[in-house]
Amino acid sequence: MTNSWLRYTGFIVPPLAWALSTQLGQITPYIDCRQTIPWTAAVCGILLVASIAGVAASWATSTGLVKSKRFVVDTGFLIALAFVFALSLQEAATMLLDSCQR
Amino acid sequence: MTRRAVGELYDTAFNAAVLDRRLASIWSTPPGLWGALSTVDHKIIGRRYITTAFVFLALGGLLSLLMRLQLAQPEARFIGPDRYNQIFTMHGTNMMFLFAVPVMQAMAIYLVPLMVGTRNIAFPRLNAFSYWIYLAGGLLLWVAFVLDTGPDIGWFAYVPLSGPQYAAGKRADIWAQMITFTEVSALAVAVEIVVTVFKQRAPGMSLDRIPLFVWSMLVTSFLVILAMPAIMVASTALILDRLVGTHFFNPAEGGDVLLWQHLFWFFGHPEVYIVFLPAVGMVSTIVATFTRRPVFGYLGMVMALIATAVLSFGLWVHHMFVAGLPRLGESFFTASSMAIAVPAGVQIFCWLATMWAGRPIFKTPFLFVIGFVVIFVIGGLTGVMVASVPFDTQVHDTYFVVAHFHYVLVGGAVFPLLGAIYYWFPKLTGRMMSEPLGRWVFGLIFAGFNLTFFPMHILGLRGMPRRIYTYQPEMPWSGLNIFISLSAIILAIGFLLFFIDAIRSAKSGPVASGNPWGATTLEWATSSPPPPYNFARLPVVGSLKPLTDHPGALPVASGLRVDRRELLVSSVVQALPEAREPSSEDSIWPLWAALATTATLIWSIFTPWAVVWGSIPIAVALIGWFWPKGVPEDES
Repeated sequence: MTNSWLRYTGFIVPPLAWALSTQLGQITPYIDCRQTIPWTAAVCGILLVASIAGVAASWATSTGLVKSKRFVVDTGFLIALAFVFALSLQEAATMLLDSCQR
Repeated sequence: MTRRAVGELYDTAFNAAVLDRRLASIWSTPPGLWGALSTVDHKIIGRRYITTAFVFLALGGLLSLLMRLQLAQPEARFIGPDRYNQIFTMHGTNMMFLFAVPVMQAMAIYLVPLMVGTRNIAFPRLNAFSYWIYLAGGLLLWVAFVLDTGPDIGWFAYVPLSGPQYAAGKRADIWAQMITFTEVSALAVAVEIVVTVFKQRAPGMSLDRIPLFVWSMLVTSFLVILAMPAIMVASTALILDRLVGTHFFNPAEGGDVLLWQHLFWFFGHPEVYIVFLPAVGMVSTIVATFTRRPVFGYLGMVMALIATAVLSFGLWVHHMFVAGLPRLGESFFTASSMAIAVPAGVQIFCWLATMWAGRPIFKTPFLFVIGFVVIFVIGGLTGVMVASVPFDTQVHDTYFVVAHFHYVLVGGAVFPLLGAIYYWFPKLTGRMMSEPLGRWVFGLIFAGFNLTFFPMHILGLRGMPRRIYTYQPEMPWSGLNIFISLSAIILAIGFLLFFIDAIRSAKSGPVASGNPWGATTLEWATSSPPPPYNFARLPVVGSLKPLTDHPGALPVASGLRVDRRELLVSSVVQALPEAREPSSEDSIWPLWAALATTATLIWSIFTPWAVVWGSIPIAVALIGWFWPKGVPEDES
């Protein structure tokens, strides 16, 4: 039961983490600017790590499936990589830009 | 299967000839006007949708020629500023809402049930309703334009320009209500396609055996379902601001102007992919057929479709880079805009690898695919450029952006669509389009398009803004503008030849053989055009290319009733048969429901009470539509 859920974490965790990061990226820069604490970078970094963990969990638990289910898991794995890449770019942006800049 | 009741007739009891006759009597649309108005056959409705969308394409094209005539020389007096505003608004609105999205869904309405091996689309009456509503929305917009009440606020209708303060009269209301018509229609079709693909696939067509065009339409349908409510909410709020006096977009009363931009582009950017992803499916189908091999990297293609769709929801702020948002927040959208180039690149490389490893046959549909790759790659590259905040700030609202999105939309959608029309024309009509004329059409459109739109990049870099109805002679734009306007004539001649070829071929083109291109997907497993029931016996699928595996006759499933319209319902992942279910009979109620909805929506432009009183005829029509049939819904 646990494994069957973990299989699909590649499909679910990175896209959700990216969506959350994108949304928070519209809110946290205002807080960063006021408090001089890099919340945006921290949140984005945590979500990036969570995404990578989701991909790894999906990969590790996807053995011994019938072909059509294997297809779903493999597709999720590849999709996850695209979102990990997007999150990496977002994390890089937090290190390059000043949160107060308009 | 359940025990068979006395008096029920099943396909197992008949030979092929008798079965064809019986199925034809059950599934055929009655002749005459009543039959035409009440049909729920997905093929008839799909053909209507395609024809109507191409009529709107022609009308939108005429508008663009009028704009090019006006801009051909400085200080031209051919069109006044007010009419010009209406024309560019009509052009964009017409092309996006009445052509691009509906024509892609129309292709799916016709092809998806055939490609997944079922007898009709899910919710056939909703399908009929969606067409009537779409037609009504289109007529509303064009009749308003003819009466000099066409919207003049740009296809994105930014507030406060479209709000009560700056847009007196009914022009903005026409735009907002047309949105409701077309989005209701698009949402209905999206739901039908999702259910058809998930629950009506032929036995054995597991998720890893679905044709790529069907995958693309499934993903597109989810995009429609998730993106279009945003624009419906926005346009409804705009109507409320204008008609009732609410203040959704009025900062003086606590509203927010930027809310409009967020809502519009939350829909507007996925809209680009709603138009592009079906084209991905079309290109994949054509490439596989004309290279004589399956598309390289099926898994990668499916991943690219889904990843593109999800990422498209995180790009909308790149349309708002000059709106004054925090740079750090904007950079997140730059990151996503760059990241979406990865799945797009995967698609391009998969197609190139397929062409490299295959034996390409350069027929007209394949020529359009090659044209698509060239033009779309150029559009993609300028897309990466405008995804960068500093560059976008410089070229925002200039002709550079006009050039970019025409490269993406015409290259990314219209070229594949024209290729798809040449490819599936024999399926729709039973006749072939002209190959020599098709090559001329491709050549003229390819050359005309590039000569028209590439110089617009330079015009934009020279600072020519969008949406201006004229310019002064001292500006350095005259030479390029006359060149662009002359080039547009070449493009127009290409489209004119296409329409002539399509109309002439539908009447008197050479009769097509059963599978004229040697394709491998299920739509070619039945006659062209297909009979009303699509397949006498439902095919059983064992691979991605069933027609190659069984060049003679496909294995088939039996056990469906032939004394009523019946479909096979299958499981989502592995497409195992689960139940038999009746499919709707023809009905006039979708038309009545559409007429009642149309009257209510148009009336509501003038008074909010229309929503109250208009709900009564809509309710009556829906009661007629859903009147209980007194038969079991499905049999497991």
